[in-house]
Amino acid sequence: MSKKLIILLLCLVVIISTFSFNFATATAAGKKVTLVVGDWPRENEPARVATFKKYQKIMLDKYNVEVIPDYYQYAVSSFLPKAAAGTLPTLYNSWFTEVRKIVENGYAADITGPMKKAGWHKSLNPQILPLISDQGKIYAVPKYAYVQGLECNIQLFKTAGLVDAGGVPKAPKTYEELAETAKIIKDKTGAAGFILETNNNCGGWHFMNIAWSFGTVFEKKEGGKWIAAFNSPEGVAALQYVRDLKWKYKVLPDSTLLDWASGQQVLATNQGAMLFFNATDHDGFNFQIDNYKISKDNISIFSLPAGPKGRYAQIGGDIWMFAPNATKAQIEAGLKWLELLGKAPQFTDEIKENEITNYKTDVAGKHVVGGKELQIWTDKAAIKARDELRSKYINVNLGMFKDYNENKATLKSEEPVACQELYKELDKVIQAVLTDANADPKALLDKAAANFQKDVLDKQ
Amino acid sequence: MSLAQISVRKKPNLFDGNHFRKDLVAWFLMLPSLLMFLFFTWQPLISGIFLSFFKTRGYSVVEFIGLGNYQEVITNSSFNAALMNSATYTLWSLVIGFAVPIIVAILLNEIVHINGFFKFSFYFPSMIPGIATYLMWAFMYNPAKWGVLNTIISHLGLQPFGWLNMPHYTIMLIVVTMTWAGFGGTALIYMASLQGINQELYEASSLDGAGFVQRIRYITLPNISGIILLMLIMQIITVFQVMIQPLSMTGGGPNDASLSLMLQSYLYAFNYVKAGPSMAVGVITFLILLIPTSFYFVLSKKNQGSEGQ
Repeated sequence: MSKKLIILLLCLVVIISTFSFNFATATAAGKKVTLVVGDWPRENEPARVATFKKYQKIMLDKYNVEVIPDYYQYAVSSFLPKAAAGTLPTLYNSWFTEVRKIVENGYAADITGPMKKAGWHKSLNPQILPLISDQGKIYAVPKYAYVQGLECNIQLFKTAGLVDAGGVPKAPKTYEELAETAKIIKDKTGAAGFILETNNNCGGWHFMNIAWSFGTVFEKKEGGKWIAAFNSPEGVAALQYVRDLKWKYKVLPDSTLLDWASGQQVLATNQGAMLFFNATDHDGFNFQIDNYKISKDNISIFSLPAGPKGRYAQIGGDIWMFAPNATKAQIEAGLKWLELLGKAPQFTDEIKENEITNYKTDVAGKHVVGGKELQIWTDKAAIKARDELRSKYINVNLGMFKDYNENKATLKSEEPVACQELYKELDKVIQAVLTDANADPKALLDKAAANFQKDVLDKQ
Repeated sequence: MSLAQISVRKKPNLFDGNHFRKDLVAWFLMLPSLLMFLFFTWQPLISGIFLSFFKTRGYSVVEFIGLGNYQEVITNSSFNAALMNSATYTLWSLVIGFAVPIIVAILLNEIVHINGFFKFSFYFPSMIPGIATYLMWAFMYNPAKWGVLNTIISHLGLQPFGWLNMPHYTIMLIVVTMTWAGFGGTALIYMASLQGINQELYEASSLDGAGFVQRIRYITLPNISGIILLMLIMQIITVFQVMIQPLSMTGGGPNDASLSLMLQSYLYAFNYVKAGPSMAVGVITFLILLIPTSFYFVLSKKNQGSEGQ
């Protein structure tokens, strides 16, 4: 073997491996359909594992579908490598906020055909349909949906003397009241009256609720072009309000680098009294309860307050998506699987059985059963049957959830273009006003809007 | 051996047919490592450079856009902050962290009793997984009154400090954490070098009446100057690529105060799924680091040469 040959071989190895990332993987079609299902329950949830195994058998016996468990749960840091390597489960979970990004990059299958064939598209809540669609095509099945609300730490409200005769917190109805309530709590307990998340795009995400209620428009289309419009007087007033919470009322936590997890930590460990959060069946407050040991009886949640220009609350939730190489047979099998899990419009006996297991698991784990999630499907009979079943397992004082469950706010979806980039830009201005008492909200928003326009919107 | 004989001695050609046949077994043994090197070092590097010139959809190539990704990242409003911050990290790491392992290594070398205990103690932080270290320090830097460091300074009669919340101090504090986590490993390298110094030099200097400081100045430092220079360049190269620390401790905040080039690359790739711009930031960083890396190779070669003499 000569020198040239060795060099040639080594170069070939590099070249082949360099250019091999774009090769499509062929999917073998057979009689039996294989479905890899992500977000599989772990051993610490034996009841759910047993139910999933039972459904595995049903899928095999009834539909000739082999369901293969996969523990992968969606995370921003792990999604791209999994997707790029083609190792996503056939059916994987994600969030409403991620749909556009995943679809634009071709990492989800178009499921419009199977959804229409199953008739599910007709029953979808019209407010949710746009969140899982792109250019008229459906790409996801909602797992659950929620409206953001105002979570309150009951113990801190009690200590501050801010509860009614029934022990229900006197939650603020307006943002002005929120600042005053937070001030009373801070003065009487020493804990932060209000927790505003500020980091890892959570700052921008939560700021939306305040800014919309102050009348802010973030993005508008002019002559076919998207314009960053949030440096308006309304936007400035909203940011000024955040600034006042820190420097005038002094009710925010000391840390200005709080994200989704650390914000909850502050509330659940009695260091903060109010937080933008949400309730859903089988999940809502589990993170706080499991990790920071807050009692379910120390939690209440209310509709978000109103601002000078309205009362708005953002919609969010979890979804199921299919890997881009999923076949039609796999997608149809996936919908059958979701039907068994109770994520379908109808409410069959099998679904009921699974829901009973889920509620029993919630009750055994001392998780909250009481907060209502946003209805995904519109079938009234199914909604009634679900509500009836749920009512049997409620384990909290419903008075603590009444205001949230009756939702008084106008629901709003995320902004139409590049939300994550927008949130990142807003994180920066929020961090700036929270770390500098002399920061100028108008100047900061002008700069942020110009940056967002130049870096993102001009490139759309 | 005469001078004439030395001058005609030829460097063996590894790829010469006869030589290759003779070394076939060695080549065969090296093959797995060589392939791993190609797949895990060169392949990602070349793929990255390749992708940086293309519009991408996920990791798939859409179309050639020349320097479009480079233009996008350089004109991005956060690029200047990321570039300057990366340089600031490097600068602070030299100010805070460069001398620490040298001092520790010299002290450890001087300690006679329970030397093993001290070696272990100093190396211990390097054994803690990185993320755990940085999250622990982020917890210690909590700006609340009850934060670990604030509790300590309150006993000294000082007011609570904002720590990582203070944009002017964020990078410096992250560098303190990096130094704590890494100085033990670097000190071991210096110690290895220190133990190679001829002990007779110390004995002779003692007889001549040299004290501790003079021994360090005239014997220790000149003898390890090569490795010190090498480690200096290594530190510049490593710290300029800082990412995990700001990612886990501050997310690049407050207000981009701790954003680094590699963190910006991470955000492009993972938060916004933009492989092209992400790779472009990587290539820009690579080009910047090419200068110190070239120095590193020259010095490394020089060091090997001097060790071989």
